Amino acid sequence: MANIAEQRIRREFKEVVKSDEVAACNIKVELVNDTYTHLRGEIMGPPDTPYEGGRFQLEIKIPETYPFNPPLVKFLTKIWHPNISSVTGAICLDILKDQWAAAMTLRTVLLSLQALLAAAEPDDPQDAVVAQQYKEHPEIFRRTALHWTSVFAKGPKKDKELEDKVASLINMGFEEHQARVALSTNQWDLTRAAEYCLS
Amino acid sequence: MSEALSSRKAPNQCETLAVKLRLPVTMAQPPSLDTSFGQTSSPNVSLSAYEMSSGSDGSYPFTGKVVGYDYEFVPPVDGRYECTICFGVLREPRQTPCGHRFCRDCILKWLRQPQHRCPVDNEHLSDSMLFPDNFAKREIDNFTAKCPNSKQGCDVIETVKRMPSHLKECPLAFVPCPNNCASVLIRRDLADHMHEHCQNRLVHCPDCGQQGKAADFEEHVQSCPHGKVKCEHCGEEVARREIERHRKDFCQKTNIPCMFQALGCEVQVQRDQLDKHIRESLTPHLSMLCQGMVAIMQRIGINRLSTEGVPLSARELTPTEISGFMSSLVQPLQQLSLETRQPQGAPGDSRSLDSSSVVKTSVSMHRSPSDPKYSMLISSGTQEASGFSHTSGASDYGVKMAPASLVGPVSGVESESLKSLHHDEMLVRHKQSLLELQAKTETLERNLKQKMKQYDQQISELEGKMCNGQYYWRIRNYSRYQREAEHGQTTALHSHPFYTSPYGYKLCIRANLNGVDSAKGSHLSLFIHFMQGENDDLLEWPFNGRIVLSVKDQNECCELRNHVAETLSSKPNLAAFQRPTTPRNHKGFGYMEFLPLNVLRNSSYIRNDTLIIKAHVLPNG
Repeated sequence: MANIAEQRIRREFKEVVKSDEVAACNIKVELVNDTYTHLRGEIMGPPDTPYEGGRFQLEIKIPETYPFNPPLVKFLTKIWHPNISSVTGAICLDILKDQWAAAMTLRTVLLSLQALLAAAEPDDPQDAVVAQQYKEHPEIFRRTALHWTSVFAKGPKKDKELEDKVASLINMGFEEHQARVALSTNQWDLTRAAEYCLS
Repeated sequence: MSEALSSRKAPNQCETLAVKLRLPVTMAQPPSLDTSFGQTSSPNVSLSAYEMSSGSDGSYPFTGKVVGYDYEFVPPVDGRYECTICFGVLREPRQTPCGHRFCRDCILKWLRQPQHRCPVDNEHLSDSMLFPDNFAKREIDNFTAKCPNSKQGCDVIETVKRMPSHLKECPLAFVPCPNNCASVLIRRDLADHMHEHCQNRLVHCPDCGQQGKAADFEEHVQSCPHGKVKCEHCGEEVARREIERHRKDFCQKTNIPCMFQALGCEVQVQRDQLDKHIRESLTPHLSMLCQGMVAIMQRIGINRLSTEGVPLSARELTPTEISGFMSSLVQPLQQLSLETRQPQGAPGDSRSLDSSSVVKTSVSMHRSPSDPKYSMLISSGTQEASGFSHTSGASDYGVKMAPASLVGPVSGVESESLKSLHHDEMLVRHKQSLLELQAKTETLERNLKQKMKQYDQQISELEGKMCNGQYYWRIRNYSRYQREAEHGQTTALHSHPFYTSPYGYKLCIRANLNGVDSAKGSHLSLFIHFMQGENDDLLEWPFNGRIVLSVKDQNECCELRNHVAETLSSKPNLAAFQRPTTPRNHKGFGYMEFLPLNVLRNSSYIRNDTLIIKAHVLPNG
């Protein structure tokens, strides 16, 4: 790893570890290997959002050219959000692309992601299906996001009705995640979800 | 001013001017100095002077990979002195118009990305908008930090400014073994490693005195020709290269065949037992000798030897028998002629002619068989012949007996010898002409070399004339010259002469690669010397004008090139600018401290072992 990248990450790591946000359990960074090229981040779902109380794991890869180029970040925890792919976890956020600035740090990136969870940008979507639902059926979106948070991010609030629908689709012989995606995509309409699964 | 300058005269009578423009401290010298050196106060020069001082911390190669100071500062440094790109403490701080500070290399690297924005607040930003924050730099230079080798136990606390010089000597720093053995050691242990443990250290073989790597020593000991080995027969210790000869000729315990082997004795005994064997086997050996002798006599047709040593049977020799002998002598004679010819093979051997003359005389003797020396000639031919001459006696009896019949077989010998004589003569002649040709080519080669040298000189002279006062001097083999300068062998190098214009002044550059006087060992010194030229009568004296001296940065990356240029103005009262009275004016004019040597070494001023110095001479009017 280039001299400058390693020195940066070493210092940033110290910074995040002793920051106030870590103290408040809002964000967290761990080393995956000893070379500071691969890190594991975690952010807490922001309050007053469907993600509240969830813990979202992030994969952070530091390029050789860091900090002149942004870190490569994606969600490891599955999440229902217009700017995050529900399939791959890829994130659409300007500061991780062309708006990156060398003065930004892991800490600011994680805080920006937290902010993204609180304020989605449906007009610049990563996941078109989610974005459409966000715009057209905000209530269904909220419940879906909450459901995904409880299932994948250990969120505290459970939605009994949605869980039952997933269960009934599973009973019809479909695989659990396939069933959940089908229902989420089809505004929790059982019939259409079943057709979606079969198509 | 001039008194101050003349007090700096170098021992070699050079008017050396130590112009410490390069250090920020002396940048604040009185304005009189600035005016006396022309453009020294121009922004360009002041920037380059600034860059120089930055390089003088000795740890700043322009690689683009250097980041802020990563020391453990005591007391800890305030966050505002940190570069927000590398998070180290600012190295060569640069400030933006929007008020943010970064390390020079960090921000330049950032601005090489497509976006031209401040990394902190996204304000528009470009290279030219950056300016050095020397206030912060001075503060940072005085911050104290623990030596990075504190983990190894170094408890030195040093200022940022002085840290590089401490690190160069820190006994607890990790250093790679200079013998390239791939070991990395603490400097304190280096001497011990290099003398005792390094695989690549040179060791002397105590047997042969040869030098070699320690790693190869074991192997060498096993094969050193001078190493002692034990003879497996007698136990004596003999040098390895002598052992074969020892076994063959000296070892008392090696089995050797009896000297009568050729006569049929098949006994093999240890060398020290041979005498005993000879003594004990007298009788069998004698009988072998006898049998052998008889066999030989039969072979040559002698039945019995007379008591006087004159062969009784000789009288009975018939002409045909004699011719038979003679033909059996042909072979040894041929051999003889071959042997005499051999020394001719050695080139340039003056004896070759003599030996051919020997053949000639021998042939002439053949031609006169009545010559009393005839039998002697034959006797000198071979062993067999001597046997013959003996049996025929020293008299010319045998020859007289049948001179006519001798002619036949001898003529065979003669023609052979004649042939070889002919060959010899040819050889001598060829040799002669070869030598002549060689001498001729050598003369031609010498002339050619002289001409080439002459042309080279003319070309470089012409080049110097056509350069119009802008002369680039490439010092190739820089490291060799630098070494020679360090050892005091050649302290000063002079460039080829050049002219300010085809009808202008003739000058040359002098470089003291290891510095002179007070700059010795620390700086590169550069001077301009005026030379006697063809146009001196046409020109105005003293010289009046400006001279720009520069050292070219040869960094591959054009943006990172930091040429160092200094302008000096002529001073009419200095001897350096008067009309030269010697081929090259002893007095020069220039900078004793042009460029610190550590900067020169740690940067791209030297590429492919070549340093490029440029002189641009601009006469006024």
